[in-house]
Amino acid sequence: MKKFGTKIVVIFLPVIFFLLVMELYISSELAKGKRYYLQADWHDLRNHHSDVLFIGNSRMRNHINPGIIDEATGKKAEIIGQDGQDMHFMWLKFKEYERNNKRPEVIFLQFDPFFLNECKDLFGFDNYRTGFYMNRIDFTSLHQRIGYLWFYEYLPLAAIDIYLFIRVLFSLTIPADQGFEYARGSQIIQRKWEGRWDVYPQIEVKTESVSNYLDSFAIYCKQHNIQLNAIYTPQSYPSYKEVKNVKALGHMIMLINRKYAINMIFNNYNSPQYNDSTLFHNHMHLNQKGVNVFMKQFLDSTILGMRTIGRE
Amino acid sequence: MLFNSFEFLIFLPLVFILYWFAFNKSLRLQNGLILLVSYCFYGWWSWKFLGLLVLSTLLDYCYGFGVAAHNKRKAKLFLWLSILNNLGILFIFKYYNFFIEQFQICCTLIGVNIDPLVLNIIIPIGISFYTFHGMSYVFDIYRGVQKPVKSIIDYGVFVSFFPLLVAGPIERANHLLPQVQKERKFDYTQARDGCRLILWGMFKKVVIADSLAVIVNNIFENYEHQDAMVLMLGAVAFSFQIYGDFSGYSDIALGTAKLMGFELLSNFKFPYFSRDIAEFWRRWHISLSSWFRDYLYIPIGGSQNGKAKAILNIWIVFLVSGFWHGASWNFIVWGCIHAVGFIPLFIIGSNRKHVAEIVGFNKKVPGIREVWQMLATFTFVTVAWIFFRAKSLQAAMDYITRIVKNTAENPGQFLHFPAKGNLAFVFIAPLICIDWWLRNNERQLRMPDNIIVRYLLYLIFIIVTYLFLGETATSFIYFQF
Repeated sequence: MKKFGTKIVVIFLPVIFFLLVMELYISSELAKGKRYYLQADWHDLRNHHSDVLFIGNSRMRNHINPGIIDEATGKKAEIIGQDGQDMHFMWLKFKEYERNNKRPEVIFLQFDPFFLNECKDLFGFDNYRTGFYMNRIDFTSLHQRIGYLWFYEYLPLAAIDIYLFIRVLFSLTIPADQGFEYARGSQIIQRKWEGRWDVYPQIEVKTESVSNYLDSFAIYCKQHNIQLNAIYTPQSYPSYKEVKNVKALGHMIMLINRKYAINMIFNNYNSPQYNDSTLFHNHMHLNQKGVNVFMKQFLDSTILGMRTIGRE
Repeated sequence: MLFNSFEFLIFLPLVFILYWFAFNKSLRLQNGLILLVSYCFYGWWSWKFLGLLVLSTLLDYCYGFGVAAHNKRKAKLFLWLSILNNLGILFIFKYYNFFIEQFQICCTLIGVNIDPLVLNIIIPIGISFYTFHGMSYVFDIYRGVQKPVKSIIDYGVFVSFFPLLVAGPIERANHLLPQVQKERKFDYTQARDGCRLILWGMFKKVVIADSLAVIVNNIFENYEHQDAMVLMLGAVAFSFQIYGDFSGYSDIALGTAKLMGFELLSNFKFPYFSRDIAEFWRRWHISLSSWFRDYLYIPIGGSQNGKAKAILNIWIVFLVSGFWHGASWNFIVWGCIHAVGFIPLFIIGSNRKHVAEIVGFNKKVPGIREVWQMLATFTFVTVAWIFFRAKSLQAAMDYITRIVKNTAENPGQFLHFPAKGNLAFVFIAPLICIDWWLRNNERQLRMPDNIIVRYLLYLIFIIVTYLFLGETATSFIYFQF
């Protein structure tokens, strides 16, 4: 047994040493401000100082073009989003943003069943895997941040995607046109319609969870005099028709407005004009052509001031 | 709990330490610990279904005493009770919906519309494995090759031993139970071999299988848009994915058991080095194929009643084997395809041609004829895997048709292999080479004699596996069966 134990230690010590060296190297690379994977770059959520903030998942990142909003309104817009994420995760990300930036004037929340779904394991390892680019080797401060459990004070190398690791190792930073200065969190899909209208199964929206989420934003925005809005970005119309709980979404907004005496606007941009498959990459995501149509619709309905014309 | 999860990385050392340092005072304590941690291991996935496992264990434990009775009629009654009990559990959780759907389709065909009760339940992990454990135990007592076990804990360990609980190998009572009942001493060589097997199994699962899964899923989900070359690539990638996945699991299971002082049955013996389908089935999922041989093929007559009856029996075995994998027509067809490959060999009497030695035994490289035989067998197996992997029988047929006719709608669309998939192909060649290097003994991973090379290899395997582990821990394919 002694021999076995010694050999295990002898084998694992160099492994630990190697991984620590790699950790230090990656941390030093990140400290230089290099960017490797934009949407997961939590460490990069600083000094943006945007006026208009969009919060959501890919259905926000792929649908909003901040450049168009800048041009039309003279306000600096930005998206903090992350593909496939839900409201709980994005609340944490927003809090991280809020710590390091001036407060925005307007916030748009993604408000659809594909974002308002229940996070099965908010503090699970996988959710934090994507938080790789937070301050690394940060043994002291992460636990002070809202939402973090002690376990996540430190994210080991194994928490990351091997390909991101390779990117760092070989200094494969993201192209400039995907960098924040240019894209500001947006990623418009250039591909055409993928060829089929899949319809997601009905997603249950848990009213209590959504209320808690809205409570958090409503309290925060009221406290800091920030205009809060909710938008339901377009999805393919055939798939939209399958969504059964749209009315419940409007009802939840109404309750929040009543509860906090605020005027949160909920705009639902789905309409039969999104029956046209050439506007989409797939049933959930617009392509470049679709984004142009949607942005026009968005600006027509919303003047960044923020006076809203159409409402549901 | 998954072998490739972080929970298991904590669980295994903890169990190892408790097992050898805290519970080593008596065999009973050690077995009690194994049973407890095995239930924790299973309950990690679902505490609700743990009840089913315990119930199944208790019933077969009791049936064992009934079957051991001197009264033959009584023994037979308990044997049938055990079979009905185990197959009943399997039927309800795994096959009921399939049969009811087929019944509904048949009724619709004759113009009768029915609205049958469909069960909205998930299949408990490992159900096909632990029910087979229970059945083999009772069967062995009936055949007189096993005595009923007095200790319920010992029997519980036999059924629920955590390394083999959810995806095998399917153990035999007369192989595992004596080990459960015998005092175990820590053996350095055995533990070292166990660690090597765990490491190699992890590498196959995490690095090779999970990476290939990215490619395979991408191709099989969008197959109508791919050209023939890509579809063939998808099928080949799945062949290696399922091999890496399942043999990786089995290696981890064998290695973990070795750490506890147990020797489990081998499940894989380099199946892709087989020279014909008969040899393939002696090398692929050995514990299942030998189970079917001993508890199905032989009891229904085997090859004792003439060639025609034997052929029928072979059909039955392959059909049941396919159906065991899943309640779906594509699994049944998969079984039938293998029967079609096997039966001609049986008829001409060459199904036992490659029993003794693996290809290239005592040679550095195989002969040209052997290479061709292996390639032909691999191609056959790969075509059959398409039925195994496809969502439905129709999808599998369509997939193959598109390979033959090369008709893709918008070829190349949606084909975006992430870097992960591309890297997986890089690892296939080393996998084949390492398998070739190890081919004479699957249970003991040969390592280079030079200590520096050996330690470097350990480091490379650990670090690469660790880095790939950062991805989401994906379930093993055979967990669904």
